[in-house]
Amino acid sequence: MTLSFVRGPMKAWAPRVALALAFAAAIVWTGVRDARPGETAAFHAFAPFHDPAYSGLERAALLAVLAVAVGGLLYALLLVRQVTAADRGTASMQEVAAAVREGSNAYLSAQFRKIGPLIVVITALLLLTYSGSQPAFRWGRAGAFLVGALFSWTVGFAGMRLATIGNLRVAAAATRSYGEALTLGYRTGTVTGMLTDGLGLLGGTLIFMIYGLHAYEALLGFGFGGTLIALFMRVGGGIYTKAADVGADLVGKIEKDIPEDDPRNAATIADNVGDNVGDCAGMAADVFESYEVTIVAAMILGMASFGHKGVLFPLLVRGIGVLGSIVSTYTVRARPEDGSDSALHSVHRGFWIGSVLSVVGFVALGVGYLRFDEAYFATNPMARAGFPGGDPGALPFWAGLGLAGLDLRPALTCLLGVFLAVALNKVTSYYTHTAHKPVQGLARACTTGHATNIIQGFAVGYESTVVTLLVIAVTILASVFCYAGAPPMFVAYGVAMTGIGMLTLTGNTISMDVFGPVADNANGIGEMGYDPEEMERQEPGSYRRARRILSDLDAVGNTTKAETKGIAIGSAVIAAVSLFSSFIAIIAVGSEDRIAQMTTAQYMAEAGRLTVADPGVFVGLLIGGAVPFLFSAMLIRAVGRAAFFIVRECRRQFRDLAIWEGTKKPDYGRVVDICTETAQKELVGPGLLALAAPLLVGFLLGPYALAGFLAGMILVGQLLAVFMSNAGGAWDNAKKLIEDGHYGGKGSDAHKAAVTGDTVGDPLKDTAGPAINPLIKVMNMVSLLALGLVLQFNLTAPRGVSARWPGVVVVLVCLAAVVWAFRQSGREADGMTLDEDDESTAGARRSGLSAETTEPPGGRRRGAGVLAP
Amino acid sequence: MRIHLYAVVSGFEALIASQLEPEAFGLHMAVGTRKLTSGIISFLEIEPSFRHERFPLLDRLEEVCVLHPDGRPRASKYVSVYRVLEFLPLDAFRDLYLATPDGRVLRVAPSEGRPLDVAGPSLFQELCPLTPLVVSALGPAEYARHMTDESNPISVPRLFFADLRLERDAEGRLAGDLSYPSPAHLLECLGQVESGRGKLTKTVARNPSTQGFFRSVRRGFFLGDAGGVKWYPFPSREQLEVHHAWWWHSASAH
Repeated sequence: MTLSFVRGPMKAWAPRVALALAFAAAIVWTGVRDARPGETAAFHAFAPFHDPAYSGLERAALLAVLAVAVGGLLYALLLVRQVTAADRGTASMQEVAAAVREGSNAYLSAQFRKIGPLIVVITALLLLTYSGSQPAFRWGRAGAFLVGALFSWTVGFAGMRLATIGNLRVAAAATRSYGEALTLGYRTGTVTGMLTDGLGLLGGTLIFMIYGLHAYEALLGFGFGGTLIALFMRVGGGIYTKAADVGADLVGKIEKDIPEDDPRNAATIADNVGDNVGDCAGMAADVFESYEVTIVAAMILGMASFGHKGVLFPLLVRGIGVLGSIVSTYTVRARPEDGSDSALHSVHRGFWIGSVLSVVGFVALGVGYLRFDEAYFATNPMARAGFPGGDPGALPFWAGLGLAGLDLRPALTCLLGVFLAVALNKVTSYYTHTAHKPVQGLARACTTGHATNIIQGFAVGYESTVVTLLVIAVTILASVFCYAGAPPMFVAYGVAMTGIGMLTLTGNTISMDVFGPVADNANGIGEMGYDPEEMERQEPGSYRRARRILSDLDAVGNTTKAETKGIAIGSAVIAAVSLFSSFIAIIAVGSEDRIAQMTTAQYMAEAGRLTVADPGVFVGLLIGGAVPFLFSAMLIRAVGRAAFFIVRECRRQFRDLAIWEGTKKPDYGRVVDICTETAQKELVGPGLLALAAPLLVGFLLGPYALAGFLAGMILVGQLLAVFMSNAGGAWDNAKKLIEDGHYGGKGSDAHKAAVTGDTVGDPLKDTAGPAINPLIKVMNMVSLLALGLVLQFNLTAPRGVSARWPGVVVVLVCLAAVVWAFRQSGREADGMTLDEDDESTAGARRSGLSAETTEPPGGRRRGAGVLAP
Repeated sequence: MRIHLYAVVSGFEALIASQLEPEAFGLHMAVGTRKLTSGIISFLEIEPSFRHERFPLLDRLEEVCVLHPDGRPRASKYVSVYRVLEFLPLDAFRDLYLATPDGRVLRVAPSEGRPLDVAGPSLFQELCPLTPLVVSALGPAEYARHMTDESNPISVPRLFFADLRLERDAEGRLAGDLSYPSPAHLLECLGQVESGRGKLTKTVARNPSTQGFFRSVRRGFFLGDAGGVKWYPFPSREQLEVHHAWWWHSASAH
């Protein structure tokens, strides 16, 4: 029987096509209106290179940043060559790795086919909905969106592709030395890090070069493109990885008593593929969009506050960060005889080296560049408002060091961001590492049963959320303090620069993060691909040594992966908070073109209206707070649905005794296909929710409700994301602690309780939790991009009926989309029925040594793995 | 087709004829049979020429243990499911096979030389005909003799059991990776047999779970009666990881 979701695409496409057509119809009408009055001055491309406001040094610096961005990409290419040139191991190892690589490529190709049309539609919409008169801005917004989407896609795809190349090399290197294996694995991760740095910086720099201080629309488009792709890659990757993991475990470990990474389990390759698409591609795209959105936020707010220096400075800081990452990542290496402790020390040392280099660099840059004088104020009059009495000399000593015209506040808020990144690492590590009390207490709680483990895990997660939020709040307060007395846009700029500082070491962060799945996959390749007897014959002791090295690297990778999650979530809040100011500013002045003319009084008047005493704001707050919960529920249910199909397929294949005997390989490709198809299907609902919810609230309830919506969504999203990630991480490591030989070890009652906690926490920490980060930013971006139209066509605006009908259409379409997504989430998927033989969980086995095979109905479909018969 | 004889000695007790080779038989018993089986399966290959009046079906094996109509070999033909070990002499037993729940099978040959004769204290998991977890002041060979001595009020004609790990940390607690039930009670029982007050054995648990069993095996398996003891030495961790990697991968996970 063909899996019934073959006819699903028809059902899935229908609402999308309808939505797209409705949007297009509504927006084409608005697109033919006359331009609004009060248009800005004529636009000149590449203004920084012929506007006398920019000095020769600034133009050279801009070109230097571009060169650094390209340099980062070239460094990535160098590392690619190093990794691909490394030894590829034996034929059996290559076979396993090839199956994982093919499955990963099949997934990303399927995803590209799925969301590609949506990207084209949105590009067209951005083109059509621009209400200004400058064609350059219209094309810039849409083009930058497309470029942002493509860059985000490239980072995810290329990073994952190299990870599937690097994992084999790491497994091969482990047969020779620890140092070689660690270095290769870390450099594989560094490729993704450098792609993120390079492409993110390249995009922001090029946009500024072309548009100068008119880059607002293009920057938003760039940020939106990267964020949207990141959302889909995170959601799809998260569903894939957990469905494959849960499916493999449910049938393998629990039902059939087969251990992990056993080649007889048809889901084992999909499980390894999931590590790549979730932890490599999804995470890489996620951090890329954090990286670019923080640049976007800083540049937008820099334009509105300090003028062009406020825009250039974050780009230069990021350039310094790229250089720091290049130097520091190259220092991470281990000696042949090293173990996991020294390896972690080397990784952390690399991080500290990068931090020091970056901090010294951008503070020195600040001392040299952040000088404000009358000549600068003449061309950037808005900057004067940032200083007490309009005089830079009136700044306190810690901000100006007594030097004429110096304002170190942007550099200091960057420094706060670096501290925040380190602090979030520490907090996350404290609550999720086996060396600390929370996880140790959780392991001990397992000795009294499953329920106490779950209860305790909730407590650990809640507590970690509070501490994380306090750290972020203190950092924001410190940043605000730096700009105390300055107008709100300067304060917001300070918060944005904190985000810049936080992600200065993105190269190191992603290196540490991607290293995790690379090491995990390498361990799986070693498990399934090594020939122990042959290795021992060639060199006695080599097999056990190699397995120990891979196991150690896997442990290191798990640690580094967990530590970096806090940064991704924290950056979402920082970027969202700083962009919130833009949101208020646009409401205050009516359009993004007039932000620079906004007065403090206008801003404060609008900000003062955002009070929970306003029913619209309060309702928006409530709805915004609910959306992350609905989104998470959708994803978790999606994992369950996808896992159902995987379990059914694995059970079907396990009926073949030849697979148990090991004389016939399972059809890995079929399970990979199922994971790929269901992950793509399940993307649609959460994606629609992210796009439609803010539009629905904005057009239905007005801009103030939308502001409340954003605030509620940011706050609750942050809390939920941190809780899910940290609780899941704590449960996972409590299980590992017991498996390492505590409280009875594997098989004990404590271990069983720990497995329950780990199973509960897995979809939280690997699917729903990480996906909230891009959700926050997508909804932020959609709100900002649509705000101009919301102001004109929302249903609460005092206009005639005939002028509101575009808003009515948008509301109806978005409402239909949200309702559809909600209902889809609660449904059982087509084909979710059990066969007779599926009823038993422990004994649905056929007797005898039948050589008959049970060919999958419908034949093999696309994306079959190399190992499939 | 050749007919094999197997004595299943863990989980349940049976004498089974089969046309399958030992590894295939172990796979069948773990995952192939419709008789739902959980936990580990241990069985010993019996000398094919063995005959005993207690098992009359053995004289008709050629008639009853035949291929299926579709040509498949006969996986199992039960000869007896009661008091099997009692009537099998020690010299009828050949190799031991240990099957994991997912069908991986490890062959363990008996030791050629003298049976292992070391002193206690020891921890034994009796597997057939009874299944208690026992601490003893005796070593494995001595324990086998003690438990099969008819003058002992508690004795059995023949006994199959495993010698388990009993490592303790510096503070006297059981090592952290040993998943025995009620560690505190086990240590208390151990204290009693170590006290020197003449108590040679103490039952810790009547029929404990086999979770983590293979990770707990120390010196191996013993089959003894009043006339002697056969020792099936368990491979070292290194040998298991290198030469029996897939079996150990499964066994260590359960």
